[in-house]
Amino acid sequence: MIRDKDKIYAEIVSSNTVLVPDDLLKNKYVVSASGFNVKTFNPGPKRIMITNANGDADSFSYNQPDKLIGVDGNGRFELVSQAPSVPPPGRVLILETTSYAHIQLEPFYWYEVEIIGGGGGGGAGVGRWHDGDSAFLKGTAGGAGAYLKTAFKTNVFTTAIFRPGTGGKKGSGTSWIMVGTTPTPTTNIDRYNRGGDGGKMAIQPGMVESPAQANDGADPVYMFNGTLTPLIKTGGAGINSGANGGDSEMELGHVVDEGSVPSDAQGVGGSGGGGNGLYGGDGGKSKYTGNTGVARSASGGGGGAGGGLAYAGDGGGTVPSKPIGYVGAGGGNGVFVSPDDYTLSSGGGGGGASSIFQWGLHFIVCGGGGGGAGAGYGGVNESTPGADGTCSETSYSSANNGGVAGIGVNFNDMMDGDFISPNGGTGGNGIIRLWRCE
Amino acid sequence: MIRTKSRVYGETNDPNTVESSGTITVNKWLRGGGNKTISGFTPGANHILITTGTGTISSISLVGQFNKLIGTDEDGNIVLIDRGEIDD
Repeated sequence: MIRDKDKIYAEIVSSNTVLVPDDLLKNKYVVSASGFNVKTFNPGPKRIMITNANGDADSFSYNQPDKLIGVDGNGRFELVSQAPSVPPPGRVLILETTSYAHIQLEPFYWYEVEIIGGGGGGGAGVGRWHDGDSAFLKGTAGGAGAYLKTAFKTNVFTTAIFRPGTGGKKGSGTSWIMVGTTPTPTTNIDRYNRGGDGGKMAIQPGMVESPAQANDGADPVYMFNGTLTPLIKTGGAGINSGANGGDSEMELGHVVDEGSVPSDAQGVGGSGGGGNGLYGGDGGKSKYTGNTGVARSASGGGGGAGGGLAYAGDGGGTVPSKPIGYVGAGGGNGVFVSPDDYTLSSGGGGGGASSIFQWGLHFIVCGGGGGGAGAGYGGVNESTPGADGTCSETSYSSANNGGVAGIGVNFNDMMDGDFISPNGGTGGNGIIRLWRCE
Repeated sequence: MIRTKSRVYGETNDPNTVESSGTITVNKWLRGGGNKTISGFTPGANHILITTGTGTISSISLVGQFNKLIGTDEDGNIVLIDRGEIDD
């Protein structure tokens, strides 16, 4: 309306003006009413705005504790119970495997998983017969695979992928047979033991195995009747004497197909150190890149033990928080008397790591491969074996599945025709067990 | 407005007319502002519209959330929940 000194000019009120017959409540939703009217929509506390089957504005109450919002058989919203907040006490074993496996998990259940990493290979023993003198040493046992037992729950249908590791291979020593009163070597006559292969983490069938797998332990270098060369601190490939385990990388977004885990390597164990080497290779490590893009350690193989003048490599993996898991036990050190005597036994391989983590919608359960045993070399003196290799840097290694130590070759106890093989034992394969909590 | 042969009679605005103190942004939600007023409600991208425990208009953000479920906590508040959790 405009008013001047002579007239009042009226304006037209639009026939499309929106009206609100009743006052609108502050901080409430507004919806349409009949005609050109709007009105307050005040469904009450703790509700979600939806449209109903007629397409009208409506709401759905979420005011119940510990529920999920789902849809019923008629396509309507409903509240669904979650998995309980703690695992129920009952256990039903639904899987035990030493090889790759995957199964579908049902929603609203807790599951408990037990992961035992592959054991390291046992180091070989040695015997030494030289100009009528004899000496012997046993090897050291392989390290235990890491042990992890934990529970997890799922509120959706999902897949758990199991990738246990295999045990590290044994160290092989010179076998002897007593012919009359003369010990006679029958294998590895150059007397340098052979280190074992590192174990590997199981991969999905059809996937290409990584070229970064652990190498064999170093082969013998010196000849039996040749001149004894002073110890040389070299051996297999890797930063130490033995080859390090291969690294593994898993990353979201590189999914090949459902259930597969892209990887550059597969959590292999470190190889055994060379017979003349100083250190075993470190265990393999794997890297998991989750949704956040932050790389996290997952699982890797155990460290390979060093041979001869040997120190065991570190166990594979680290101790991450999530994914959770543990490194494998370090392998036993090789045993020696003095650098001048060359009586050297093999170190055991390190145990594989264990871990569990979430990869997208999947649970990945891993055990690293055990490290291969180191090699050793027979010398002329006798000594007491060192660490048995069953120690772990964590207290979780109740899975003592490292390979047994090879015996020493005591020529004084051998009779004509006796045969002694001082080989170590292959580490036990990793095992994964899964229970449903009911 | 009513027009006769001699006069034009102006109308008053309807007392129930809805008013907004500012320009209303297109394609956004509206909420009551008290009395006959409204205001815009623009919670941002990827939100779910809810009411709080007091019935007040509010929203839940899904920004930066991956592989979650919508559920409630022990107090009946709406929360986003992992599809599965490892208990450590």
